[in-house]
Amino acid sequence: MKPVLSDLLGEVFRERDAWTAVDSFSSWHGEGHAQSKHYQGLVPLSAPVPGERYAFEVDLDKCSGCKACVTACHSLNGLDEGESWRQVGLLREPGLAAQFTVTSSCHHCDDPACANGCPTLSYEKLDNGIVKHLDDQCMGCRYCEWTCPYGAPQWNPERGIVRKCDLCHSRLREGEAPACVQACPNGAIAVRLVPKECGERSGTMDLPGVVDPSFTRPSTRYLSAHPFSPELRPAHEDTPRPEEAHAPLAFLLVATQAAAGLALFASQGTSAPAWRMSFVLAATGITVGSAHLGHPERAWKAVLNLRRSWFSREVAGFGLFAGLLGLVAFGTSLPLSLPVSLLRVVGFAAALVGLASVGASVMLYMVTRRPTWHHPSVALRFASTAILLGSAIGMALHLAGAGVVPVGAGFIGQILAEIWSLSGSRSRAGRMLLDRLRVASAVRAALGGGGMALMGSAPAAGAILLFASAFAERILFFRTSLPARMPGAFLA
Amino acid sequence: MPEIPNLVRSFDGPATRHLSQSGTVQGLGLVPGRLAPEGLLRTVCGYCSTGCGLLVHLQDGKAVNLSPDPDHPVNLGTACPKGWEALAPLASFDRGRSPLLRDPASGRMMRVSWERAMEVFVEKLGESLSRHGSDGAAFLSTGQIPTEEMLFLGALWKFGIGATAADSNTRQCMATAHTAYKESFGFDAPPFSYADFEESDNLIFVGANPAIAHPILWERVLKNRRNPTIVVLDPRRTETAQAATRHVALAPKSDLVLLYGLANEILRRGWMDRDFVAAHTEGFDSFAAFLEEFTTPRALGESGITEEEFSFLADLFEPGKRVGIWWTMGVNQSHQAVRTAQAIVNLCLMTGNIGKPGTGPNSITGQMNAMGSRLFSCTSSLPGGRNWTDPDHRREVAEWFGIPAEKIPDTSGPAYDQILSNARWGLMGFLWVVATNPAHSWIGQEDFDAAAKKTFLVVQDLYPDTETAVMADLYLPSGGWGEKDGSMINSERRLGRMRRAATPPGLALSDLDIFRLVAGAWGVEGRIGSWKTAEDLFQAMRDLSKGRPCDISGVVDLAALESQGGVQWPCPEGAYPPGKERRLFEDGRFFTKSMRAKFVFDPVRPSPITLDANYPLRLLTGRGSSSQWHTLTRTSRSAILRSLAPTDPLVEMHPADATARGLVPGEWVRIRSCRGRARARVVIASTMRPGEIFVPMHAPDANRLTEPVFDPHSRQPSYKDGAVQVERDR
Repeated sequence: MKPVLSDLLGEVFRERDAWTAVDSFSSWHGEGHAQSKHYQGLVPLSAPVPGERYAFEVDLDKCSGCKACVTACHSLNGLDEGESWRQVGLLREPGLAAQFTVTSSCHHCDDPACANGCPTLSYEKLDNGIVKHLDDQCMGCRYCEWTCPYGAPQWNPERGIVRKCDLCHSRLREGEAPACVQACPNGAIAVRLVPKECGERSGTMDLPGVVDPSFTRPSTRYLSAHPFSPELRPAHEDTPRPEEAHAPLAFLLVATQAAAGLALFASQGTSAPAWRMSFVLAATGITVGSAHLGHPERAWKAVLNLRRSWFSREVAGFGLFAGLLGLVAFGTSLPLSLPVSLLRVVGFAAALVGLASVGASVMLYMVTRRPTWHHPSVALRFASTAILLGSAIGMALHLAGAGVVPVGAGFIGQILAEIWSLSGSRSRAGRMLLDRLRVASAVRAALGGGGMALMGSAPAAGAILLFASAFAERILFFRTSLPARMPGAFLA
Repeated sequence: MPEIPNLVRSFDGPATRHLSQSGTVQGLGLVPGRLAPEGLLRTVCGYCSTGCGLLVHLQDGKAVNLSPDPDHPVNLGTACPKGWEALAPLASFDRGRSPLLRDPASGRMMRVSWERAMEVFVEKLGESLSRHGSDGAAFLSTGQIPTEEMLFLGALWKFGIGATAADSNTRQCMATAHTAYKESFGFDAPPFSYADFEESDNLIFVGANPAIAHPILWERVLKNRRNPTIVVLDPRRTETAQAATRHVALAPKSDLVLLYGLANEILRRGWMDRDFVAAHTEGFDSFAAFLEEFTTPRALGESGITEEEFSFLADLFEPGKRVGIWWTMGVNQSHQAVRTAQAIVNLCLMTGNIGKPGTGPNSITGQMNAMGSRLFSCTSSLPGGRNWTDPDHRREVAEWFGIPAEKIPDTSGPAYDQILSNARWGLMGFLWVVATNPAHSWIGQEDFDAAAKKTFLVVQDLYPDTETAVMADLYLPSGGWGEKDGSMINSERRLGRMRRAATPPGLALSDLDIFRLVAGAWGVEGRIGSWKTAEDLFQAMRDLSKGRPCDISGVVDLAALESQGGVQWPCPEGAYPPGKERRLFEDGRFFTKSMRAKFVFDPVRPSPITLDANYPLRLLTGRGSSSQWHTLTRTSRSAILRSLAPTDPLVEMHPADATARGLVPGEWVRIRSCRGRARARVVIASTMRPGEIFVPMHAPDANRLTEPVFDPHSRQPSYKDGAVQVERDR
């Protein structure tokens, strides 16, 4: 039997491998865009005239939640594995059995928060209303993921940039429907031409759990014949999950705040070690912080949007801060040998710039619509960190003015800020500290308590522990931040 | 506009160009430029029975992308997420590339050649058959391969090798509809065309959730321009129920009583179609007498619906209205499934809702090719939908194959559960699992585990890591959808052509080629031994269907299927090309000897599964999302599909039951039944009735909980009925 089988195997594999795809080519072709017969009435017949813009329109009553739009966006736009610019979530009413599935993508806002916050000017608002992302301009800082209250920009770790929906701009130009519009079996998604300026709200975005549309003036219009009950909530709220830790950014924040606090105490004297420590903290913070960029070689573009972006201002501020600190710290020892009186002035200026930059950091988070960040507690949190670490390190360096009073005040301020930020409607986030993040919370508490206990006897060790504790606190600051987003799904 | 000069802004570059689009094939529209095809291939999707037409984009001879076929009569240019991602499972890195044989010493799977694999296969099969007799070896196949491969496998097994035990996973989804139609109509003949969705005045979905399970069929429902009333009968307020005109939440397993009650009410109202019943049916009088005990109070009492709901349901059958009743697994998977399906048939027969636009007792199939399996796989029927018990049928088949008629057994042999039971009790030594994953999907999972341990287990699949494949003694790497040619039959009896778009990886072979090897290794000759290509098998199907209700002899070859966007059976010689959308029984002639449809009914039996203090909750299972397919062997290989499904197993529960257990949303719980346990995270949802929980069948542990209960006529498992308890898991 065996030789027969070998012959047969040879034949089977020969036939298998002789096949070419050309054998299967179909003669299929269509007129124009063959699919267009299925999306008539869902895209405008003409390009926008001046004063008009494109906008998505979603009929919630037609959406059956099949999610074909998500996969079509992925396939027809040639996106990377797992990447799509459309998402489908769920609004549920726990008491009743009513629910809506909600498909969403970029809302191509009239006042796009992504563009306003982008430090590198990687967003372009086109005349036809489309908010286009410039993929080759992006340095991969991911700030737009925070500023966009709808979760539209999608981080692509392999490419180190963010990408997002461009409303299938090139398809619209050819008179074709965007991928999602083509794909919806029930015609729930359409693209309409709408007047450009129609007051505060260009779209109808009063969806439960979604930020007030006056923030960015989104253009998408959601339609339904059924009024939303006040009980309706996004399904994802049931199962909040920790956000990314962003360790480099946590370090950046803590180190620059420590540097600014220390500069404040140092500016009252002429302690070279304190200035040098402050410089080292600021410089390390900036260096480590830039490690989170997808394209660090484009970091120089971070200052392009000083006019509108707190990110650009923070970068510029800390850059100047570090420069001035360097001058004070090393001004006497360099060939320059600058006069001490001048360095005192420069030191004073450095402290002011440092504090202003911490202010920029505060604003950078506060202008987002993440509930735990869009809150004054961020100012108290960052200021307390600056006072706590500045005075603690100052104590370790025997700096006049740095003592247990400011250390204690900073410590208490920081705790108050944490409680404040997770109170009220934000307690969902706080619960994660006792649940999924309980180990990190315990470590953070132990470090803080230990640091404070050591401040009297061994201030250097105490300051190190307090720095570590602040770093842990800042990681939790990121992990407990609840994103502002469109409705998501339960555990999806 | 920013005042920063555009000098420092990059509007173009490699990242921008990476996403640029172009149009290369006329009519296709813009596609990603780097994936622009030089040719297309028209095929039919390989997941569910909807049978959507897909266009595979080919570049440099490789399948690089896919889009729905705008001109296909089924899906009208759309697809569900699984269809869009149909190529992803093929490209997965963890495909099986070589046969693997378990090394007895180390217990590990070792690569072996196909020669060695076939040697072992034949040796173990022969041993088992000679020790235990012709029932001593079995295959368990699938509704997921082309009909040509099903016919090859069945004929090889039963007529070539002479083994008699074989079944298919269509036992888990469509055996009930098969049995019900066969008894009522004389042939397993779903009467409808998808156009009927669009032609109804009233659509009733019984135990069906097409918005999630068959999204493209739901599309057809929404295309109905007659302002239809859409009603869903389901214990759960499913996605379909929410989108429907009305949801009637009946108690699980009360559908048979309710349907009989409705029939009785229609009789009382005098709304039956007497002319149709007299001319085209038989057994009505005894049915009418039988119905007397199904009073409205009884129907209300057992189903838990209100009088107003009952009267609303009865109103749907007002004479002159076109009523289509559609059912899926809620009916098919039950302890009295066949009679429930036939109660639907009876309602349509007595009101004349059959053979006319928008009407019919319509079973929506589950798997892509369950219908192919029902008609040609030689498991529950002889090829052409013939009966094993009919000597004429056996003779016809024997003549075609050129074998003595005595070689064809006079029964279909043991059913799925009986095969596993035989294996468990040592009456069988060889089990060949083809393109299915019973270690996940079989009801009361450990019954399969126990059977598998007692046999030499051969698993033929795309992946060596499915729950079943990891238990195998011999693993055979097979090609999947997209790697082979052939045809499938969808819910509306449409044969569609599946095309090969790629070559299986490594040493993997199409199932058809593997069957050729088995035939060669066993030394099977004659017609079966001469089969080489899907076209050879299709010609056999044509021949074997001649003169049968499912006659497809008018379709000269596979290419003739493709050019029509598929062909619905029947299409006898001379009928090609047939109309695009055709329904059966327009002339009122059925496939029974009397050409009359039969009223088939039986007394109602309570569910054998009772709740008690230890297990106070009723367990329902079903499809969880549109992006997941069955046991996830394929859909889990697509990142985008994974992202559309929950990351953890879920259990849905009514707020009252959650509150009673102090559960909060998202909390991990332990679910216990008398059979086993599972962990899941709780979704608190008023879409459930109190006292009932829902576990998606995609969870690997779902069938640790289910209890092996079967319909006596179809032997289909009753998956949607269990007794469980839910507790905190902390």
